[in-house]
Parts: sequence; C-alpha cells; structure tokens
Amino acid sequence: MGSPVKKIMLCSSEKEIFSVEEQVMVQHSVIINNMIEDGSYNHEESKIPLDCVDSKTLKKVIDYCTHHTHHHNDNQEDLEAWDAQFLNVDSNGLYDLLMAANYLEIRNLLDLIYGTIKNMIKGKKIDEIRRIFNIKDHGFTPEEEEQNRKEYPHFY
Amino acid sequence: MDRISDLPKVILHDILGTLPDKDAARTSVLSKAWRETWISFPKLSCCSHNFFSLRGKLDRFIQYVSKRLTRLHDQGLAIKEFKLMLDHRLDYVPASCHIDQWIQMASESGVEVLELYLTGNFAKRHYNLPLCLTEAKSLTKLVLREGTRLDTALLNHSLKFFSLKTLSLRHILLEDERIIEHFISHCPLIEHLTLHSCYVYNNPSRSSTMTSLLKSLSLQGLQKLKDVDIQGIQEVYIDAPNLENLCYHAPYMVTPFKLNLDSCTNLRWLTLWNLKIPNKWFLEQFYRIPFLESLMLHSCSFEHERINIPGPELKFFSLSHCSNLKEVNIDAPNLLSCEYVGKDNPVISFLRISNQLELNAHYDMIENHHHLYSLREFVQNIKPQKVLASLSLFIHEPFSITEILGLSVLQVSSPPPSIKHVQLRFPMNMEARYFPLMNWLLSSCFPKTISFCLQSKFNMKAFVVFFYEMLMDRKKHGCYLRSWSKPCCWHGLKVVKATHLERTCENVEDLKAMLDALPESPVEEYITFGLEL
Repeated sequence: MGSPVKKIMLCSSEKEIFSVEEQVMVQHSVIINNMIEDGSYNHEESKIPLDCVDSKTLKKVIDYCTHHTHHHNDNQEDLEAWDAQFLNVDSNGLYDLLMAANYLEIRNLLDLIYGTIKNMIKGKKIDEIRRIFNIKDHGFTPEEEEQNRKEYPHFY
Repeated sequence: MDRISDLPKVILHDILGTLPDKDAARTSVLSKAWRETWISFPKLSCCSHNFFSLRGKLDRFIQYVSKRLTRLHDQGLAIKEFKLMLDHRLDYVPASCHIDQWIQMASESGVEVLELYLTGNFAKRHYNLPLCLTEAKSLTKLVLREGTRLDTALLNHSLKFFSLKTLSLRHILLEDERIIEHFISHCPLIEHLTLHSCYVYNNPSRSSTMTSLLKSLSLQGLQKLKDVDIQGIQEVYIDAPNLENLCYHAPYMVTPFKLNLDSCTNLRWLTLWNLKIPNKWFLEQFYRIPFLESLMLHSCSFEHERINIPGPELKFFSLSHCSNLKEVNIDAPNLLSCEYVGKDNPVISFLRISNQLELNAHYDMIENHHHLYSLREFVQNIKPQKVLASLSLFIHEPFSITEILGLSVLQVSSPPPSIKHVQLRFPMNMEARYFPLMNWLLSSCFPKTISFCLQSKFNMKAFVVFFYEMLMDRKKHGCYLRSWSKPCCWHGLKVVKATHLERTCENVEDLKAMLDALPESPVEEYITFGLEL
C-alpha cells in the first residue's frame, strides 16, 4: 500500500468545503502550488478561501484539473472532446470559469476558454457576435452606429 | 445578460491578442464597452491594405494610426506592440514625418515590440529610422523589413537597447557598413539575430545611389546570443560561446565565403546554403563543433566529389540539391534521421549506425538526366540497404519513356531492393505509359507501400484505377521481368490494399467512387497501396 493521497481543502464563496487531491491542484494552479511550496498552507488546519469563486464554478474547476491530471496520457482527440463537452456552458458560466481560472492561475484552462471566446469572434459579422454574446444594448447612439457602419462597412 | 463584455480589460486584451488583426479590429464597433477595450488595447498592428480599401488614400490611414497611438500615449497608457505594414503601392515618403511621431510615441510609452514593414524599392525611396528609437529602453524585439534606412547618425549615438532580445533586419539600407556592428554591440541581451540582404552605399559620400550587399560582419562577445540567421554576407565572424543555432546563406556561390565559428563550441544546429565548400574547412568544423546535432546542407557544392560526414552527436543530417557529389560517407553513430534531396545519384554509405536510423530520399528525375537503371542504382548503392525508409520520386515528365517502351524485357539479374515506402508525383497523361512506367518502377525497387499524389494537375485518377486493377488481376498483363525469378515480385503479390485517409477500398467500384468524390483541389493528397509478398 502506498501512502494515502494527500488532500487539501478549498472553500467556495458560499463557504462550502471541497476536498481535493493536493497533486491535482498543485499541477494546475500556480497560486496553490506557490502556497504549498512556501509552506503557507497547513495540512492540519488550513482551508484555502476562494471568496470570488462560487461552489458550482469551483466544482467545475476541480473537475477540469482532476480530469487533466488523470487523463493527460489520453489521445489528443479524446481530451479535446472532453474539453468541448466541459465548456458547453452559457456565457455566464464561461465568465465565472474564466474569472476562477484567472484567479487560481490555471494556464491551460485559461487558454482553453480564451480559445472558445476567440472562436465566438473570429470570422464573424458584428450582428452575429452581438447575438452570441447577448449584447442587447450596444450603447452607441443611432448616429454613432450609422457612422461606424459608414466608416467600417466591411466589419458588418 | 452579456457578461463577456464585463470581463476585466486585461483579460479582454489577452483575448484580442490571440485574434487575427482584422477580427480584433472588428470588436471596436461591437458595443461601447468593446470600443473602450479596443481603444486601450496596447498592441497595435496597423496594416494599410488590411483595414481600409485605400485606393491610394494614405491620409485616412495616417489619421487612423495617429488617432490610436495618440490616445494611448496622451492618457499615459502602454503601447506594448507597434507593427506597421505599408502597402507597396503607397508612397510612404510623405508619411515619414508621421512615422517618426508614431515611433516617438511608442518609444515614450514603453514599446516592447516594434516592427516596420515598408515594402518598396529603397533605391528610389526609403524611410530613415529616427534617432528617438534609440531611447526605447524597454524594446525587446525590433523587426525592420525593406524600405528602411539606418543612417550614419546612429554611429555617434549611444543606443539604449538594454532589453533587446530579438533583432531582425531584412532588405534594409545602411548608410555606413559599421552600423550593424555598432547597433548589435549595444544589445547585451540579444538572443536572436536575423540579417538578410543588407545593402550599403558603394560610395560613402553618396555621390551615387548605387548599393551592394554588406560584405563582412563581426559579432563579438555576445554571451546570450543563441540563434543567428545570416543571408548575403560574404565574410562572417561570430564569437558567441552560447550560440546554438546558425543558418548561413552565402550571397553567391562563385565568391569565396569566410565563416569563422571558432568560438561557437556549443553549436547544435547548423544550416548552410549556397556555399562552395572546401573539404579541409568542412572537416575542421566538425572538430570545433563537437555537439552538433543537426546539419543541413542546401544547394552547396563541394571541392571533391567525395565527402565525409563525421558527427559523434549528429542526430539529423540533410543534404539537398547539392551538386557534384559522387560519394557521401557518413559516420554518425547517433544519427536518427537522414534526408537526401536531389537529382544526382551519389553512393550514400553509413559506417556506424543506430538501429533507429532512417533515410528518406527525395529523388528528382528529370528528362535527359537519367538513364533507365539510375533509380535502381541509386537505391542499391545505399549502404546498408535497410536504412532506406522511404523514397519520394518526382518525375517531371515520364522521361525516356520511349526507351522503356522499346524494351520488351528489363534485364535485371537480382531481385529489386525492398523499400518500406515509395511516394510518387508525376504527370500521367498517356495511357500507353501506364504499364511500362510501373513495370520500370517495380523493377527498380520493391515498395511495401506505394502512394500516388492525387494533385489534379497530375491527372492521376485514371491511372490509379488502372494500377489497382493491374494489381488485383495481375495475370492478364505480360510480365516484363523474367530473368531472376518466376513469378516476378509484383506478380506474386498476396495482399493489395488501397487506402485513402485511413479508408480502405474494398473493390474497384469503391475506389472509383472514392476518387470521384475527391474535390478538385490543388493540395497534395495521396492514395496509398499496401503491397505484400
């Protein structure tokens, strides 16, 4: 028998506690890696408070890190399919995930979300992007909008 | 609710940075919030023919670039990157004073990356790099391509490129031949250096505008330099103990070059182009560069017809389009991959070899250059035979076809050498050539798999069907190869499999349907046949 898997505690904004394999978070999150390395995390007592990450998002982030730790040897196609399924969320969900990944400094998750947002913009016309991002009020006055259309007709 | 637009600006800027310029620019009219994000985006890539349909109107473009830069500069925001690309049809000389201002603003706003692409003929017009750039202490990357001139004033100026890591100068004009050395000597952290075809005035007083290529370059004491790519300089002296990668492209093969790498003992990758290589010099380099892992010789010629390649650490060796070679002896026990590209058929031998060594040969067959048996000879002359992993043939015209047709039997005394894979690119426009050509090929070598390029210009579809039917129903065709065995190798095939993009064809109808379904595209697609004896 090997030694039991070391766990760490993460605390969401709703004060819900999540127990995660230390290795999983250390591998993915620069912030948590630093906390473990510099000894600021005490395995007996500490919980890492993540006041700006809600439970639903934190659970997803943990799912992501766990999957990518245990399946990093899977073939590229399977991993990509898993990622696509994972990011099948609405723009609110995407926002929360992005903010959490940014806060915890999870580089590969950030890149994945950047890529998703990039694809929402790339090669698309203005009206299409507005629909995708759910931009109801673009904030331009009718005159400004008219001016934009005149100045950059190829954007529309 | 739209929350993506509410993301912090730094994050949105990161996302804009991953987008192509046009897509990033388009976000400026999405909404007021995105407009704000765009305005503060610190990476400016301004391409005159990308953003506007200019129709010769430079004014609007100048106005646009000035507006964006001024806004960032005046608000004290960073300008991290400034890339300027001007269409060659634009006369940018009238814009020079604006470009000066732009560079000034960028320098004052902490620019890290500056790239200028002012295409055009600098004998007639060019842009003088302003001295204000020398104050850009935060600059890490500078790229100047065409249409730019570095003038003598730079020589008397202390340059403050303390952070510069990447310098790339292509087709630029130098008022004085010492400028580049002066420039580089002020870049203590430089890691990557590219110098392609830099020109100097023939007459320093510039009584004439005639220019010629910069003749010599000496780089000294550059501790951080890792990567050098030099083209068009006849004499090069490099003292850079940590240099890892060097690509040197000599200006003309006729003029003798000088390349001194004496202190570059850590060189790992060396690429030489267009050199007339003296044997003694060549061998000496191997003793000076003990850790060389990759050697590529491109369009070089050698003093002797025979060359030796000793490389204790060599893992990759490529010899392409080098002329006058009859014999290549390679003694590199750690070599993993070797590539030969050319139209000659030198004898290639390996002395000590590793088990993983693979030779991939690309053999160009040109009419009037090869006789009938040259391919077989080339393959047979590879020693040891087993290293030949793949052979790509490019037959420009079914050469000597009359020669092949004229023969009723190819007289071969031994079985053709076996090769893992043969790949063919050739124009197949006459049905009468199908059988003789394949008969000739399969008497020259016996491939385990064979693939044909389906590029539409080669008109291959009918031929592929013919080849398939010939293999599946072999007995109906006469056999040309009688002398060494019966039945000959490809008439005794047990298994023939035709595959395209991992799909295997079951029968000839299937194959035809698949070929018809292929789009008429100029891309290289291959159909592969697996042959088993």
